Amino acid sequence: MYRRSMIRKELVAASAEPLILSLLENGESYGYAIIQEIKARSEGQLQWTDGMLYPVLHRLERRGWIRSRWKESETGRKRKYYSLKEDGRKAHKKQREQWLKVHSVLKGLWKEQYV
Amino acid sequence: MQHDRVASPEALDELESHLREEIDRQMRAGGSAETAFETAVEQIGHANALKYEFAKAGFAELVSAKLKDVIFTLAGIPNYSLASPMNTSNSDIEPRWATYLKGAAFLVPALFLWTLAAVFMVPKLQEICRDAGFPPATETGFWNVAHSAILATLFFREHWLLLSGAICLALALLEWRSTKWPRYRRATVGIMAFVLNSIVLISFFMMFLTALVAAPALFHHAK
Repeated sequence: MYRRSMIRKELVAASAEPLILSLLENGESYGYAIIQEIKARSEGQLQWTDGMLYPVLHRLERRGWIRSRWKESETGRKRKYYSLKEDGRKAHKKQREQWLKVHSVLKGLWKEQYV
Repeated sequence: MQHDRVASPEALDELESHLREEIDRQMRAGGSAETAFETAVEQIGHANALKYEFAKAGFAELVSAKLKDVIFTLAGIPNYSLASPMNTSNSDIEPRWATYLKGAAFLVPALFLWTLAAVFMVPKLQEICRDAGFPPATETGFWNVAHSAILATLFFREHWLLLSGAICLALALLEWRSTKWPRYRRATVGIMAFVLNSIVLISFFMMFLTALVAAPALFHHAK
């Protein structure tokens, strides 16, 4: 049976920041929702240890890239929502360019190999 | 977790909120409360690993990492430990701030001494030379050199604002327009600092020589 392999942890670690910034580019979100969204979008191949997301979020906040606020959800539960700040938007743009460059190099190489 | 002080109370609230969301989701999917709790705790990660990661995100740790980065950069020591595992490349172009900061640091003592000399020593030296009856006709060669050092100091004293403004403007233009400048920035700023330091040193030496030559003449004159 075909089994999807998990993405190796080095790549998971390196992609955490750009993934979080890209998600927050779509609007504010909270930790649990971010994890669920990444799980869904990667079809479970990108596995984060749930708790590890929060130190990353806090680090981004300390850097001044994102801001947070506590808000009550419709179910009455308190959640800490994160949103992108201007510096975060700039950092995201830079990271995006770098990832796209890596992507285009790989794509170009693979195209040559499989033609 | 609270006993082990994994994180700040606010971060613990956040982790608790996360656990509750996960338990709710699993129970909605038909799991028992006990299993849901156990799975959620397992998924959130090992307490020690979390503690370590939260500590890395702390303010003091971020500041000390930044400080270490600054010290290493200034000393010119490659700092691979800060690079993420995905990024092992290290650009050999020194950051702009480090180049200018070092250039300024190397110039400050010379400029300070030179200002002191221009304001206090040169007028005094001119006075001594005048009293000693300089320049004597026999020593024109030496006197020309010594005198030009004094004149150069006076020229810089008069026009320092204009000159430093011109240098700053040239550097700003290069930073703004030139794409090749970053590659040559360090060498250029280094050479500038070296030349300016040498000029100050030479003019000091000339002033000292002038004083040495003028002193016996002054005694002779006084007699």
